[in-house]
Amino acid sequence: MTVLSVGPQRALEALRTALAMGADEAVLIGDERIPQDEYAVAAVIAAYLKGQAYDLVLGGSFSVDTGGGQVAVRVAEALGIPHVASITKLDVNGGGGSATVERDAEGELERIEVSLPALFTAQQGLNEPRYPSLPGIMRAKKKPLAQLTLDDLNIEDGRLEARTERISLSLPQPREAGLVLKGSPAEQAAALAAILRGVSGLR
Amino acid sequence: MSRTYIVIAEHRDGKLRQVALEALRAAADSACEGDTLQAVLIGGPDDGLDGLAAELAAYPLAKVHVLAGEALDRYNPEAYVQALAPLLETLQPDGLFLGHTAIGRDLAPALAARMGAGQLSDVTAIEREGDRVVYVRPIYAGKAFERKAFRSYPWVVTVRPNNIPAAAPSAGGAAAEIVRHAAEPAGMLRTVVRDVVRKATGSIDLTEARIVVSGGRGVKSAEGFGPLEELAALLGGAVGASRGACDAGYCGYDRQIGQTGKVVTPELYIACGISGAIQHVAGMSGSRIIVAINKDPEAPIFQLADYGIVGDLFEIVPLLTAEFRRALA
Repeated sequence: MTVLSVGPQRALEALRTALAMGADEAVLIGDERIPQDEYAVAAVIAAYLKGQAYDLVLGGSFSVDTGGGQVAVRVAEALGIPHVASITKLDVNGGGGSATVERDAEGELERIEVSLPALFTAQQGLNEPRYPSLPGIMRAKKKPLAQLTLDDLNIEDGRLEARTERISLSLPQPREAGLVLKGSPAEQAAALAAILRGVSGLR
Repeated sequence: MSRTYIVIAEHRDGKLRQVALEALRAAADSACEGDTLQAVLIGGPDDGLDGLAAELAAYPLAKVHVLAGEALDRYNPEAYVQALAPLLETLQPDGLFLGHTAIGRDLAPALAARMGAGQLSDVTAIEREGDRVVYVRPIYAGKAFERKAFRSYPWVVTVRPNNIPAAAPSAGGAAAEIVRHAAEPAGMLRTVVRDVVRKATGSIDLTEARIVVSGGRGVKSAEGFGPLEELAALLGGAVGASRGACDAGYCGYDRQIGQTGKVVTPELYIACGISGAIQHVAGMSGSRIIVAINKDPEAPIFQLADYGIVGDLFEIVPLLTAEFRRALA
């Protein structure tokens, strides 16, 4: 199992943790020429994976920072392998030729069978990540951790041009504490119902 | 230069989804005079696409494309991309608009990859800055917003449900042309939806619901969600949960609202027995009106609630349900 990240040097720490948790190898692709754009990041990962043997590619369903939710699915398309996003259960079937996954689709739970190689993205509930053990941390120090740049990958010219750009950042309007209702529970409930009928267009 | 913008209009249970009209509005707001708007309906032969197309034709669209096929009756990423890619290849859109839904989130990046397009996901507002269209989207789970623009065509945009106003039908009743396409028989699919393990309990999707009643650790058990479900059903809303309630096994993760779960922005959010941890707040702080019901007067949820009741949810929620029921009678 190889863990891969595209990012700055500080991502090494996360990769080392993953090695301590049981991954066999780690790869960090770090290069200032890689723009912060899902199109470009996916192109970098796909270029790396095209030179590798793989049966299963796993990613997150979206990042908690920018929340784009694009990179993994784009990689699957670039590699020409099937994908299922946002899975909550994964079983690789006997022989490793296919996998059965479960996907939450807005309240419905689908069971999907996919032939391998395939790409899946993980949603909350897929599993409980183990903690790195002390022996795991010691072993991790001896495991291979490669650091690559774009020069190590075969990427066509123009593939890394960012398709989007950030113009500005802003903070949302802070919410203020509102009205805490008084009275007996029945009075509070009646007051709340009256307020909500007035403000929220309830029937 | 005249641009073509295409909306993939999502439908469910034989109805157009609200978010389809919101995506249409997003496309219209992105367009300039002389640009062309079109819509695509994709689904199975028994999904009633013709009726939906007639409904969509009343909106300001030049064309409504209907793409029906046997393998398309249920969302399957591989079958949908196989069916849509040739149509998009023919239509050559400059922009593609979808809802940021379970389907849209999955389909949009796959199509963007096929089109060589950039994508902005989960857009909550659209602004104009001179000639440029600027898309506003939340980052860091709603703690900040970024304004982004595309540097080159084509574009793919997904819009967060309940944020952009729905498009209105065209004035004067001009109808769009309806074009039917037979989806080419799918090639060997490597992805097969075997069965639906659990059907949606309510017909209202959490992310699209106008009203959400949500429970936290304070509901104490799976049965504890009962009073919340009753209130939600009465108000025509959906039931959500905090991570605490999901981790405790009181309900499935499909109901989880928060940083690692779903993000909801309903008109009314009623938080019951939820303390208001950052993890949860990230998923609901954009709601228009927030109501908190919690035993602990110091719970952080009261810091952002518009209306708060300090009390036992098992006492308050049934009383509230009774109040609404009386008003409805």
